[in-house]
Parts: sequence; C-alpha cells; structure tokens
Amino acid sequence: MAGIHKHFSGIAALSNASLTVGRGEVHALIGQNGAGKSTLIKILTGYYAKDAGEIVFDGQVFEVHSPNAAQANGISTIYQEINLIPYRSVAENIFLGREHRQFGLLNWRRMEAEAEELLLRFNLKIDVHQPLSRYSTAIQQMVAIARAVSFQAKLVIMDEPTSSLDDHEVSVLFEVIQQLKSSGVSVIFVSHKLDELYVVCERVTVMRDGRTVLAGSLGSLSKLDLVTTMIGRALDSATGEQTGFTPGSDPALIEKGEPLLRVRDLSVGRKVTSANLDLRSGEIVGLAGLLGSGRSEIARTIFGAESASAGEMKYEGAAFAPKSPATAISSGIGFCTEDRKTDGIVPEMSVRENLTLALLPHLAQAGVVNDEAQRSVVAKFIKTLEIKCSSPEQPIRELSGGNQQKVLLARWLCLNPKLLILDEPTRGIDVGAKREIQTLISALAADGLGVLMISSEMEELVEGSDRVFVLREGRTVAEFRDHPISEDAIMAAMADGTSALKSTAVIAAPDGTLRRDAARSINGITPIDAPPRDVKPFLPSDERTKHVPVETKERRLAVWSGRMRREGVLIALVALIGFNLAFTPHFLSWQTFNVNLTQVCNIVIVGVGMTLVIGTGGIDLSVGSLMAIAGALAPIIFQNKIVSLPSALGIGLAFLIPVLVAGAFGWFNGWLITRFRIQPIVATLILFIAGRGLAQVSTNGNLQAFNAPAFQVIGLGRPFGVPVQALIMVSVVAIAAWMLRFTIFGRELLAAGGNEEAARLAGVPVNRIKRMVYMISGLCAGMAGLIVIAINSSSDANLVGLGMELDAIAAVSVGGTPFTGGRASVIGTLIGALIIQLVRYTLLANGIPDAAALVVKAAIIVGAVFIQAKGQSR
Amino acid sequence: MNGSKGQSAQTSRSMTLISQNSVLIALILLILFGALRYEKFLSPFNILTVLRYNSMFALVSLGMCFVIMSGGIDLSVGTTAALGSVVSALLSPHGAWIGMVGGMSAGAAVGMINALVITRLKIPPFISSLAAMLAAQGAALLLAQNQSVSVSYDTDFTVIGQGDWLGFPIPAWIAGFAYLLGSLCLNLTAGGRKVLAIGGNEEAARLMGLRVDRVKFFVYLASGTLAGLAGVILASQFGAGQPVEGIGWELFAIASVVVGGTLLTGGQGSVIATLAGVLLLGLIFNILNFENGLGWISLSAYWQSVVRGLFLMVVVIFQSRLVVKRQRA
Repeated sequence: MAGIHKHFSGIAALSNASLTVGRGEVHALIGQNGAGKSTLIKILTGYYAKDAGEIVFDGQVFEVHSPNAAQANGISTIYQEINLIPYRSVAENIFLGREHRQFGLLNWRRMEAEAEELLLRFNLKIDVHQPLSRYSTAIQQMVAIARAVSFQAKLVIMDEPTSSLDDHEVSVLFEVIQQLKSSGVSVIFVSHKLDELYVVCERVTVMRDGRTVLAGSLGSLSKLDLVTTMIGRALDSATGEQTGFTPGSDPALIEKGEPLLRVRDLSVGRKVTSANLDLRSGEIVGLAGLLGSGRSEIARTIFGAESASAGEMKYEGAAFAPKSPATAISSGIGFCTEDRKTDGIVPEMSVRENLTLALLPHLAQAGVVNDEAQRSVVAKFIKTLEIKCSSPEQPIRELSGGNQQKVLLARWLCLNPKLLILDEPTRGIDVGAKREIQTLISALAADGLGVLMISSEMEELVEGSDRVFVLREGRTVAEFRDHPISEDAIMAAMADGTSALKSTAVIAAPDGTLRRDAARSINGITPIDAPPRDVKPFLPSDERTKHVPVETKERRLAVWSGRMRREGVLIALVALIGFNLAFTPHFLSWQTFNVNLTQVCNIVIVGVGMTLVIGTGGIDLSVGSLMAIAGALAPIIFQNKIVSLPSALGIGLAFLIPVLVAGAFGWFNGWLITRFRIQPIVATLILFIAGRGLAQVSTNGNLQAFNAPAFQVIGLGRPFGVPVQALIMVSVVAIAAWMLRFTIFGRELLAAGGNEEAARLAGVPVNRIKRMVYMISGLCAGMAGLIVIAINSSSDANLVGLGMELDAIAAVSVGGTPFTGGRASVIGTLIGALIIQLVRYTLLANGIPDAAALVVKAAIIVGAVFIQAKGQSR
Repeated sequence: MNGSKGQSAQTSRSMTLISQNSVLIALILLILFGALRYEKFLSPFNILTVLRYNSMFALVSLGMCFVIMSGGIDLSVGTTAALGSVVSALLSPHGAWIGMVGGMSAGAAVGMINALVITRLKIPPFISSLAAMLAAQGAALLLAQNQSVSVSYDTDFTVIGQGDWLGFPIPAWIAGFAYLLGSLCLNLTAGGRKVLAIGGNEEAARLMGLRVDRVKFFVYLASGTLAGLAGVILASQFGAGQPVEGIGWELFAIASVVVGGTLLTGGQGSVIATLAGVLLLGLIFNILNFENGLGWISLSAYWQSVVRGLFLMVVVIFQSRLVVKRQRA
C-alpha cells in the first residue's frame, strides 16, 4: 500500500500512509489510538474506499470494494471486537458465507467434521454444534482466528487478537502464526503489547497521525524506540518507569489504618469462588488476574451490580451488601467499568450530562435540576482534569478515549467518594493520556481516596499499586506487599497460583484462603439496606471557572445540522400553512382551525406519552387499546350502571377513574418490561390485543350513546372560544417538555434510553423510570380516550383509539425523536402531528381522496426519518 | 470441571428442547382438551374449517417469521394482504391463476418497496414498514374505490379459497407447502443460515462478507409476497376483495411468531413452531365457540382477544425465564 489518503467529512484520517508486507512475513503495525491503523486496515479489506493511493497485492494492482471481495482474493481479517454470530453454532460461524453444499442443500455433516478438524489445529476440542455464545470470550476469539485462517488466505490481518486471550492461548496463537508463516502466508499483527511483537514479528510499521512514520526491522529497534516514535516525543523513561504513577505512600503508615473495605471468602455465581482482599483509605490496591478470573465480578459485587452468593464484605467497619449500584454510590463508592462504550458513557449525551449523571440527585431541589450548580461543577472538573472538549455541550461520543475516561472519573470524583473501583482504567487510551490518568490516580490516593485498580498491564500494577492481590479462577491466590513487586511473580501466581515464590508473597493455603487470615468467616450474607451515609457531594465553591468554548468549523457544522434537523420540521409546517393560506379557500376560518385542532389533539396527547417511552428506547403499542378501555369505563361510571352516585361526583369520577385505570395498565406494561425483561414491543402487544378485548367485553361490544353535557365539556367545551382539549394538549406538551429539560426524571429518562447499563451503574433507578414512563403513556392514552368519546357523544369499544398507536408513532418519528432512545423532543412530536394532519387536510381540501392521503403520509414519514438520519450521520 | 460443564450443557440443551417445543406441547394439550371436552371438536368439518380459515394467518406469519429472524419487523403485512385481496378480486374474471399471480405481485411490490427503503435509505424496518402499511392501505382503497370488490363467480377463482383437493382445503395445501418450503429453506440452504446470521449480529455478518442488503431484500420481498397470497385466499374465500381488512393482522402475526418461540431480537427461530403458534392462537377462538355451544357459560367472541392476550403473556414470561436461566448457565 502506498500513498493512501482517506478523509472523513473533511478531516484527514490518513495522509500518505504506506505499508509493505513481504510474503510469509509477520508484520507488526503499531500506533496510538487514532493513528490510523484501523482505517488503513479497513481500506485494505474493502470496508472503506480510499480517496487516493495504490494497493498492490500479490504483484497486482488491487482494487477492492467489499469485505467479500477482499476475502475472495485471499485477505482475511480478525477484528478487534469479536465479530461472530453468538446464537449460531461454532461450525456455522466458521463456514458462514461459503457453506458446503450437496445437491444445493447444506451438507452439515461435512462442515461439522471440518470445523472440528480445523479447531484441533488450535488445540481446541469443543462441541461444534453448540451456539458460540456458550463459550468463553477466549474460545470465541480462537474460533474467529480459525475461521480467518481457514480461508486459504495469503494475508491474515489480526487486529489486537490477544487482548482476550490468556498466556497459554497466546502461545497457541503464536504457534499457529508460525505455521502460517512457514506455509508462506503473511500476517499483519496489530497489538498494543510490545512484548508480543518481539516474539512473533520480524518487521514493524509505526503510524502516527495518519502517516507512516517508521518502517523497519524489529530486531534493530528497542521498545523505547517504538514508544517514542509512536508518541512523537521522548518520554522520561530513562529510569525505566513506563507509567505515570508516583511512588506509593509509606506502606508502614497505611498498615496502621483500619481497612476501608474488607472482602472475605466472597463467592459470586460460578465465576468467583473465594475472593479475599482488603483496602485502606489512601491506598491503591491492584487486582491482577487473567481474563475470566473473576476480577470484574468482584468489582461489580462490591458496587452492588451483582449479588454475592456467599461470603462477607465489610465497608467502613460495618457489614456491607449493597443491593444496587445506587446503594453503593450513596455509601461513597464509585466504579469506572472496564468497557467505556457499553456501560460507561451515554454516547448521545453531552459531556455535562455524562459528568453529572450520578450527581443529579444532589444537584436538584424537588426534582428540578439546578442548572447553575451543574454548570459550575462541570466547568471545575473540565479544568482540573484537563478534559479536552470544545464545550461542555459536546456529545461525549466525539471525545477521544482518554478524555471520555476523564469524564467518567469526574462523574465519580464530583461525588467525593471514599472508594473508587477502576476496572482497566487505561485500556484503549493513548500513551499520553494514559500517563495523565495514572498520575491523577496517584494524586487522588495521596488525598486519602481508596482505590481498587483492576488491570491487565503489569507495569501499571507494579508501579501503581501499594499492594497487589492476585486472582486465579475466582480465588485470591496471593498478595504482594513489599516493593518492588516483581512482574514475574505476579504472572506466575496468575498462571498457576502455587509457583515457587519466595520473598514477598503471601501464598494462599490449599483451601484457597489466605494464610494470614486464620479466622474463618461466616458463609451467607445477610443483605442489609445500607443507610445512606452522609455523602458530601462536591458542590461548587465561589471560584467560577469560565469556560471558553472553542468554536471550530466542525462544531459549527454540527450545530447547524442539528438546527436544520429540528427546525426543518418547523419550516415544513410553516410552508404547509403558507401553501394553504394561498390556495385553500376558507383556510383562515375558525372552523378550519377547530376541525384540525380537534383531530390533532388526541394524537399529540398520546404522542407525548409515546415520545417519553421512545426516549427510553421502548415503544408502546397498547395506547389505542387503553383509550378504548378508558372510553368504555367512563359512561359506565357517569351513567351509574354499577353504583348510583350524585351526579357531580359521578362526573368527577368519570374523569378520574378511567384515566387512572389506563395509567395502571400502562404501569403493568412497564412491570412486564422491567420484571421479566420482555421487549417493549412484545410486552405492549399483550395489552394491544387483550386491552381492546377487555373494553369490548365490559360493554358487550355495544355502542354506548349518551348525552351528558357536564362530562362532554372535555371534548366540546369552548371556554373563551378555545377547545378544552386544545388546552389539555398544550398543558400536557408543556409539562412533558419542562420535565424532560429540567427535572432529574427527564435527564435520567434520557440517560436510561441512551445507555441503560451505564445509567444503572451511575445509580439511575432505570426500572422505576421505565415503569413511570409507561404509566405516563397510559395516563395520556386514558385522557385521549375520554376526549374521543366526549366528542362523539358515544363510546364504541371497537373503534375508540383504533390505529392510534401507529398515528402516535408516526407523529413522534416525523417530530425527530429517534427510535434508538436517548433523545426526545415533545415539541417535535407536536409539530410532527400538526404536519401529518395539515397534509391530510390540504389534500382533502384540494379534492384528493383520503386514500391517497395515506400514501402521502407514508412518504412523509419515510422522508422525515431519512432527512433526520442524514442530518445525524452528516 | 469437565463434568459440570457437560452437565450444564446437557441441562441447557434440554432446556432449549423444552423451549423449542413448548409451543408444540401446548398445542397438543389444547387439542387433547378440546377432543375430550367437545364431541365435535375432532370432526372433519371442524378441523377443515379451522385449517381453511387460519391458512391466511399462517402465510402472513411465515413471512413475519423470516423477517423477525433477520432482526427486522414488517408492520405492512396486514394491509398488504388487503391490497392483494383487492387486486386479485379485480383480476378474478381472468381466472384463478391470473388472480393469484396478480395478488401476489401486488404483495411483492409492497415488499420490494419496503425492502428498498430499508436497505437503500437505511430507514429502520419498524418505520419503513409502518409507512408501507399506510401506503398499501391507501393503494387498496384507491383501487377498490373505498368499497369491497366482488370476485367473479364465472371463473374458477373462488376455488383457491373454497375448494378442496384430496379432501383437504386448498388454502391449507398452499400454507402447508409454503411452510415446508420455508422450513427447508431455513434449515438446509445457505440463504436460511444467512438470515439467522444477519439477525444474530448484522455487523459481524457484513464483515464476514455476507451481502446483508441482498438477503434482507429477499426477506421483505418474501414477506410481501406471502401477504399478497394471503390476500388472494381472503378474496377467494369470502367472495370479495376487502380493502379495509387486514388491519391488526401484523400484530397477530407477530404474536404467533413470538408464541412460536422465535426471538424478537432476531438470530434464532423456527418455522414449524411458528405454524404451531398460529394454530394455537386460532384454536383459542375455536374452543371459545365450542364452550359457548355447551351452554354452561356464554362468553362473547370478544373474550377471544382477552384470552389470546393472556396466553401471549404467559408464553413470553415463560420464555423470558428460560432466557434468563440460559444466560446464567
């Protein structure tokens, strides 16, 4: 590859990058995150098209346009994240896309036999019938490698293949690489673990800022050379220190302190069988172990995200068994998870929202977020942690890994925690930011914070920790306390737990408990509801840090496209009104206004509930049926069919009870979704079907006609000439919009929609929020149901709210609320509903049949969603 | 270590077996219940009526099953069936074959547009098919001029829905054949496996070199075509093309697929279990009729939706339990 250029939306990702790999050569490709390695690889494999440059493969100019074509030409790739199909069998995963066939049908037997044979080359003897998801990450990774190798490839690209493998598996992989090499296959090996490169690779290409900065033989280069070329500046690594940690505090001093946290014989499911550790304030305790040794499970248990099956935890001297992250947080514990993307950041939300997610309850009065206080907390932390962002409003997904991690650290630090659990705090972060974070961790510990640090990087453990515990297969097997801690000793303990360690380690007794702890603890934890201790959250001092947002061209573009997205809908609405003013006779009459308004009100009211539901990433199909239920109930009440009531009370209850019943059914939807983890579409489908049935049964399917002016005010009343339902609609929209923007509930709702797991781990009561949201949707539907029957002077359970779920969903999608959750615009839904209604009206007024209006409505929905998606991806 | 692993694989396998066959077991139990309780439940007349009436739903659910396995959803099948019924009724004077091909082509056209919007414009299937649903209904109403269209009784068109062959209703033959083909396609062709792979992990399937968009295209095309065919049967059985029929069919089809154990997230599913799901939900109505016939109670037909809803709830709760257990194992 030579002179490769690639631009993404005006920003150069690669400029003049080149890469040369000889036949049968194992070639290392390294660089910091964002240096362009992945882009280069994706161009080679046809995933991206290059802007300029030339690729010569196997002696010929190579034009590749799809991963398929690259594969067919002998280039196979193993991507960093395992990219296989979890539910399908191992054999199927290996042969997907090039299945063996017999008479046009699949030949399962042959594929399975070949898969078994292939895996044996990797010392892997597993049942290839089983779904892949049943096996560990490491086995999945081996299957991915086996698949890639089995393509008779001439070039195999491995993007960080060893990140989820243990030492033994790594050595098997290296054997396979040697096999490949000897059969003339070339390998491109991408890895951040420099030691590995020296084992298998002959030559190396170093990339930085989208350029190839070094290409040469690995033998003549030292590790230090590689690191300095990658970073582009010399590190002060003359002392051999490779991390940014400052030397730990005086161990003798720490010894005296009372442990902040003590874990005894902890078991969690099958992953953790007997974990023991203790930690004092101001101490950094490292937790070492191979992947799958139970490290993360222990962290999650301390944080209340998983529950212990046996054992004892003590925190601040008292028994401790948090039932949820929220409990742990209120006791002063913070937890930065291993995987920022899946359970750390809420990608669509701003730096500000992400930073204060866990702090929100402290920033609010009566549920309303104090914007001022929030802004100053954010400004303070952006400054002290040197978070690089264009403004606190920048979506966090646009930040680099290191800066995202800093925001997540700040999320906990602003709560003034006593214990911070860090799971792989520097994974996937470039070298510069890594040092900054490491320095920060040391400084925090020096200030008295207890830190439990899980890491796979030996340097980090050895240089950063005051003490290191080693886990193996769910048991604590060793503790190292005397410095310098030897990397070799830790690795030996990780690998077999009983190695001949002489000096420093406290070795576990055969039964898995540490020898020092003669006292056996009781099995079985009694869950206590830890009382919220007084957490003193950090609140802004008088010093006001003014943050000057950096206006870049990029940023302005983003702002613009956001504005277009939002206001495009508004422009369309204005255009429609303008068109009608010009061409539709009598458009500007009170009657037209009324007709359109009454038709749109119900869609908007139901749409508001739907917007909130969709904001959490869900959907509510039951709204139409809930309208029917409310509509069926009201006449039964005010016509005194069951009990005789004074008429004023009867009417009052006829307003109240049906709405509450609909709300209760909505809550039931939420309960099904949160209690049984049923997908919203299925859970609400139940009431979609059964709800209308209930309404029909309760009225025997008959039309209930009535004449009850006092009740019908809700549909026919016109105080000051304004329809009552329009007033209801406006207040519902206003309340919901205010709630979304200003209350904790609104912010937490969107956080739960944007990244449920991250929100849960930040202490957001996700389940409660979801039940609330579905209940609100039910309440809205109930109100709409009453309005419909009041207008019609009759209630027909067969027809009330029929198809309403789809109308509401259409309004929400035209209004710009994405179905993926995490963003919601109630005003948008209002405008969306108005547009759909006005289009229909315009067509009817101009003599086009209603049926054709349906087709136009379909086109509007597709068009609106398409434009929004465009605006978003830019 | 090895022993416990083997054991857990064993239990999880039997768990899968139960979950895969739970719907079949429930179906058999329901049939037994009906056979023991009602004299005429197993009478040929009843069986043939149930088969004849439910074959339309079966066809729609088959298409839905493939769509859901691919990780998508198709809300347009109900109104597409209505469009198919109108088109075939309009073409019925030209005979059964032309009517049938016409109805299926109309369905295929909707499916194709839906597929193109999903794969080319990258609009989520939920929204795209919602739009297709509205458009198909609009088209049906336009073609039918807002009323039902009588089919021609001069040709053999009504045979499709009302005729018998070898003692079985022709719609049942059609549905049976479609399910046989569907099952074969899913289990024994590369195409079927690709559908599951895409539903399981679309990005991975793409990186593995599958032509994801092409597979999706055929899935939605098939769904539309099957819905069109269901519409043909509808018109032929009831003697008229019905532009306003079919609303809500899509959700009943989803319910059948879910009851059949197919995961709504895609990547896993069974064609035969879907058929069992259709029959199960259909039999609830049938049994309700018989129960009223016994005279002990008098439940209005409206109860069937309540019972269906409850049934769906029990099934999904049962399934969610299994999934949770499997994840723990």
